[in-house]
Amino acid sequence: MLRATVSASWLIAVAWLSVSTAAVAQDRKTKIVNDRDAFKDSDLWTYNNLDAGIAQAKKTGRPMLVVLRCIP
Amino acid sequence: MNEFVCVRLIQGNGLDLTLFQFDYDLTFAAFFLNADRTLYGRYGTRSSLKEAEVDMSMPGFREALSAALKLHRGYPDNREALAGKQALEPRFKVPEEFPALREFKLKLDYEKKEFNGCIHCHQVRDAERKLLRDRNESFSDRDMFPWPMPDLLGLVFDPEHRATVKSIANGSPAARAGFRAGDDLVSMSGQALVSTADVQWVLHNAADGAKLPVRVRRDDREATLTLELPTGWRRAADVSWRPTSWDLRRMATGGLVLENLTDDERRDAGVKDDQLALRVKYVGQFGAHAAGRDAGFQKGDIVIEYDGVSKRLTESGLFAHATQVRKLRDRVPITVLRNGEKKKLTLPMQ
Repeated sequence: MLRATVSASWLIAVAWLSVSTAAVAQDRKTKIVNDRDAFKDSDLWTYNNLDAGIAQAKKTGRPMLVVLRCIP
Repeated sequence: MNEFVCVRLIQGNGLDLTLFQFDYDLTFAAFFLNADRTLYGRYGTRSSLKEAEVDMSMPGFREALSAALKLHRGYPDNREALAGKQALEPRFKVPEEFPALREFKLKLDYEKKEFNGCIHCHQVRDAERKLLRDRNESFSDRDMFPWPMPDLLGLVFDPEHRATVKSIANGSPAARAGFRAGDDLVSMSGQALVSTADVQWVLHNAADGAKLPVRVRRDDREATLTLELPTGWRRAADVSWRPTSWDLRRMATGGLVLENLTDDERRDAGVKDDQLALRVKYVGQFGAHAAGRDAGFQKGDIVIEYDGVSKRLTESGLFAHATQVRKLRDRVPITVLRNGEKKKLTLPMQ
């Protein structure tokens, strides 16, 4: 439970703090790969698939949080 | 967060514009939705290239999440308070339908290492404006000054909260309406609010002269104030920080980046307080962004007259003149000061 909470918090922080323009200079491919690796296997996040998220929301009755994160 | 189904989208390709309408200059935006696609609210505000924390914060985001959850629990009984928040009929349903974006693929497969060809959100606004420009249609204030910050009306929000007033500017429309620091905005124009972005959505779509009813909570009581939007109120907005200003520069300055002079610099240049004075900070070097260079402009030139206008303008105001008064392929006379001497140049509108 603690691990899940920490993990969720970390992903929220990543989702949030990556807004900062002070991110370390990386090429676009690296940024995308890092972003995908951080979220793809998350229990919390559905990665880059809106339809899957809608289907899950319909199934569970939960509201959706859709984050649009443009990777510069 | 665990009470939400969380989805992360990282590309504009195939983005459903019938659902996702937001400030496309942002690199982070959040939507709270029902599975039936009813929108509870938006989150994401930016007023400059300064750190995002100036306009957003984790505590503020948490409050927005809580407010969205509350709306979810009250749904569908609260449908009326959500009606105005829904997306408007877009010109195109996905970005790729814009003429300027037709070369892009609807979806990129990162598993197949398709890392290029991503549509950035700001390109949606660029494409909208380019369409208008290519059709020789003037930009409206809404096109030119999108997603206005409430501080244009004297209403400054606290980023640490959902939609709580931090301060009010003296003599502003917000002051005249009776807002006070600490007011918690509940609704605007009948729309339930979960964030400053929700306030911006109302303002973005409001007409000049509109009188907006605003429900505020103050000292555990609720009251309704009326916020009146003066004619042309959006025009004080600074759009020069926005990624989409790059394409406005192509249109309006041929790729020149202009900056304000300080008061001392104005005095040294012999320019009056109410007079136009924008210094060329950068001269574009490639493609359509080299039109200023090709017209003879140089770094350090001070623009003191633009198409007959010599009153004081910001770079954003100059963009507005070029896109609201002038049309594609017009040729605009410009006077600059170079080494203290006046020089007349002509710039093609693009």
